Amino acid sequence: MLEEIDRGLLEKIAELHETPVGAYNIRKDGQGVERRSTENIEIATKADKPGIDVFVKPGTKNESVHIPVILTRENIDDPVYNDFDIGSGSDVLIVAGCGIHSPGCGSSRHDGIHSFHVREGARMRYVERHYGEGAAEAERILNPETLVEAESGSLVELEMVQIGGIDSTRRKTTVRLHDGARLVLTERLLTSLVQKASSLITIELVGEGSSAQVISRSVARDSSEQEYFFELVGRSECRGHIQCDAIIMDGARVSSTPKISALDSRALLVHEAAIGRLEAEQLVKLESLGLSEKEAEGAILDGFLG
Amino acid sequence: MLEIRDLSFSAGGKDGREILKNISETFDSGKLYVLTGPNGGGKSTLAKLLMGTERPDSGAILLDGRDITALGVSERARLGIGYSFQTSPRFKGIKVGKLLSLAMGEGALGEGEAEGKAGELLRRVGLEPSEYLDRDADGGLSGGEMKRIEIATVLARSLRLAIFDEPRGRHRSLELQAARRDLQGSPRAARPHPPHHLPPGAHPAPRRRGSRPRRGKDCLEGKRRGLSLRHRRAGADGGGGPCLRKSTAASSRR
Repeated sequence: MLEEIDRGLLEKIAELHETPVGAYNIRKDGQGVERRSTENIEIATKADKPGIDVFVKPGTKNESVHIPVILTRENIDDPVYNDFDIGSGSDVLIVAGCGIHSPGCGSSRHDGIHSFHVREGARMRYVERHYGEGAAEAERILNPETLVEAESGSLVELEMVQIGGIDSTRRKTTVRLHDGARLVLTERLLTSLVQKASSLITIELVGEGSSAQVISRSVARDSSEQEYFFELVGRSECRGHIQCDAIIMDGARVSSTPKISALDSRALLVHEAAIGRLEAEQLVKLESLGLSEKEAEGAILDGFLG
Repeated sequence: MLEIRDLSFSAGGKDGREILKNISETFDSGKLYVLTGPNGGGKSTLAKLLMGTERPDSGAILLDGRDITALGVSERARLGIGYSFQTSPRFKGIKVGKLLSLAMGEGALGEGEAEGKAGELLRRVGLEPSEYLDRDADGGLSGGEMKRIEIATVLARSLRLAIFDEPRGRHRSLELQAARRDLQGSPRAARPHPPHHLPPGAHPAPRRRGSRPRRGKDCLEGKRRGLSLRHRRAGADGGGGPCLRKSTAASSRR
């Protein structure tokens, strides 16, 4: 059964106000609590380990799958393996994410390992939101891993957002793109207090005419730390672009390590990275429009993390 | 009415290099003032002191009789002071429409109404709303586009004092038009000005015989060091507050 706290978490991570339309699977404290398959999307429990298999029939259009995970107990360690088979020519939205509400001071940990096989010509948009709340002494840990195999002509959009309250996160994303496959990956990270976050993104451009665009934006406040590793490997005629921007505040630390490897002379790879404070000119401009310093800072950060 | 009294400012604090020394001036409502002078003459500094991005070492600034010297940028903005920056900053992730709605004062208008008004503002600065409202006000826009949006953020507000910092090139006429429109409350077509010419109604300072102020070296003392002020009446109906523009071109070109 879902309670008030659960609904609050679901709203934060999946923007769900009520039961989702389409297929869904809601996991709470290590167990599936609600599920619905549809005519075109089947959700099945894994036999050998925790997690689900999701099958999207070829040609399925404009359907969605919501698979939120919520943790409301402490001292819980919840690893889960979710596999997705996205049928050829389909067009689907998948909304995942984990919300943690810590009642006490113990730790809550969720490691979601998501593996996607996006078949020929399919289009998949995957949205993952992470959020934590509750007692300050409690530790909330999320270590998501995302693996994507994008077949020829497919379009993969990954949108990963961590909006706050997670003490420690190690994020690992690996994408392989075949002929003509395209990837658009956006990452948004906000850390504060003494939170730590690291993100390792590896993209292999295997196929002819494949392309990848990565836009990573983050804000690090207080004494938090962020670490980024980006690796782009071009193995054929392909295009890859990584744009990594971080706003650093207070006593925070951010490091970013790019690596671009061209293993074919036709590969075109670009990496841009910038770390810096909020620009004084931006603040002054908004203040000159009548915003207070705090409002101006909020407007700039909200826009940046959009 | 804007009044400045014995305003002094030194770069790097009181013991630093004097930029402005004992400047006093009164600016009447409903008029367009053009501040001219050589590079380094203190024009930008004076503009910044009025907006509050810099603080004077001594002296006072009064807006409609109220002493605003101690107020910060936000507070002055709320009293109706606006500033068109020479180069406007870029905002990653903030849409042009959002920037304009911040300028209009969010919440003052409904969403639909705000968008309509933002579109109208963009048209006034020569940009097609459907192409710009949803675009990020970031590096994807050219300097010229950004400058027009900057002017639109100033037009969005109802001001007692509008300051235009160093209008240049083709945007000079646009800014002047904006300034006059604000003052008069009715549109008037912009007249293209040949480069390096002052806008109509403003007259360059007559070059004084004798030595010309050395660039960037001299401290400005009242009107004696090459800084000069000209105004023109905005129109019969006046309205609005004073409008201040500064321009380098004047004394150094003529």
